[in-house]
Amino acid sequence: MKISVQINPPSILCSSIMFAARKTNLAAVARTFARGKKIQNKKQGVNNASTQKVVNQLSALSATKKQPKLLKLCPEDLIKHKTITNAWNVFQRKQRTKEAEILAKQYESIKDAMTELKELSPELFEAALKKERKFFPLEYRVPVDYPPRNPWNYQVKKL
Amino acid sequence: MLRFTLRAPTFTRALPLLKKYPVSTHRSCRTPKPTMFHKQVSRLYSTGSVQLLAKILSTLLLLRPPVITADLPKFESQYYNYQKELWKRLMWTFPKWFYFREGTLAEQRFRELNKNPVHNNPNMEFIGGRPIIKHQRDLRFKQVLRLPKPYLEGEEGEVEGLESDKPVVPNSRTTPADASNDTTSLERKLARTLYLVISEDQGKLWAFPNFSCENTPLHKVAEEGLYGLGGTEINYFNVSPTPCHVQTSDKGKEFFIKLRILSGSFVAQNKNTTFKWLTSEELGEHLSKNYYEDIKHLMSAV
Repeated sequence: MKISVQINPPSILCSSIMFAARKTNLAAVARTFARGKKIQNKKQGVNNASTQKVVNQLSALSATKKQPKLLKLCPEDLIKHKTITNAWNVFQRKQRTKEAEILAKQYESIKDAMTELKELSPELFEAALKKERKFFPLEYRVPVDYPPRNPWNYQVKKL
Repeated sequence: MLRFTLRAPTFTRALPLLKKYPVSTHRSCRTPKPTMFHKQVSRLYSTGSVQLLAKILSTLLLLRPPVITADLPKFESQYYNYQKELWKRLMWTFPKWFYFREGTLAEQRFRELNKNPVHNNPNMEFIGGRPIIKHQRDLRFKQVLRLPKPYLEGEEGEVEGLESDKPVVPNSRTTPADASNDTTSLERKLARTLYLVISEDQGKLWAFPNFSCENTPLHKVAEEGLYGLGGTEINYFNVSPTPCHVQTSDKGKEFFIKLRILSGSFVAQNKNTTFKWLTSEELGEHLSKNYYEDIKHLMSAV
């Protein structure tokens, strides 16, 4: 019995809250069902501020009314476009083969150097193959579009 | 040490001979041929061992990596520009209401800068076709947006306003060293890879630094030689101890070791030594033609 008495007050509180929430909901429902009266007008937009925010965000993402007209090229422009694309492909192909050739040459010269070194001095050959544990230097920079104020660092900092 | 250098080459020299005259396993020819082979090998052992030894040299290929991105050739820049314009034409309309809330000063400034296009007036005749306006943008063309800047632009490009608000003016891609064509400067041709060449006879003959190698690893010789030539104020990075090329010259076998200079400067320690930092094309003008053709592929295209 004692336990039930102890539990009672919160349950009452809870029900009162539920009742209050339900009351407001009922009022809203009553408003929307009012006959002959439009609550949500298309021109007025959404009444709720937070809903309006979400609608704004979604509208920024959505494609409605934002997509431009499709590109319709006349035959002459289409030929121009195709020529440009073709020229680009040819250029890329040439560049790729050139790079591959250079890579193959570099590989061959490394191979030649190592075979020669093996013949001349196996000791140096072993030393040239020895793997050292080293770290990529922090001073090594990636090229950027515009140089820094001092393009070259003349100070040597031994790490 | 000496034992190694004398014995090993002769043994490996004999290997191609082994391939050329394979020891036949057939019974009929088993007896005579091995003796011939043995004779040849023994002759090689007796005479050739010392003569065959070429001098090992470590050639230093010191390069300065590019500081700025490569200059785009004309064709590439034109193609990228064309693609950019296509992309702009097919871009969606800028959602102005999302970034500029109505009734704010920012929105007013934006509206002043971006005037609405001419609307589709039914009483007007449009020569290039009727405009299709949605969200104050003609959907037939790309949308050009002008954004309000935090500073005021006066006459002749002068700007007023806070220092932090002023537009960022990037540094020039060309340096004073480019203007004066100072080939000893590390700040020249920032978009290119530069290679170090030295001359011992006041600029008559140019070559990569060469160091003779006596049983010290090639890369160690190159690194120590670099310090001896250009002082210790050089911060370099060696990717690999493996030589990238071998070149036979009258001095001996030159094994190329690539080092990258990261900071510091090359200061010639010897009075007679002159040096230059050159791009791969300029190397062709300074080195002999045949030599350059042999090592051209080692140079970076950028």
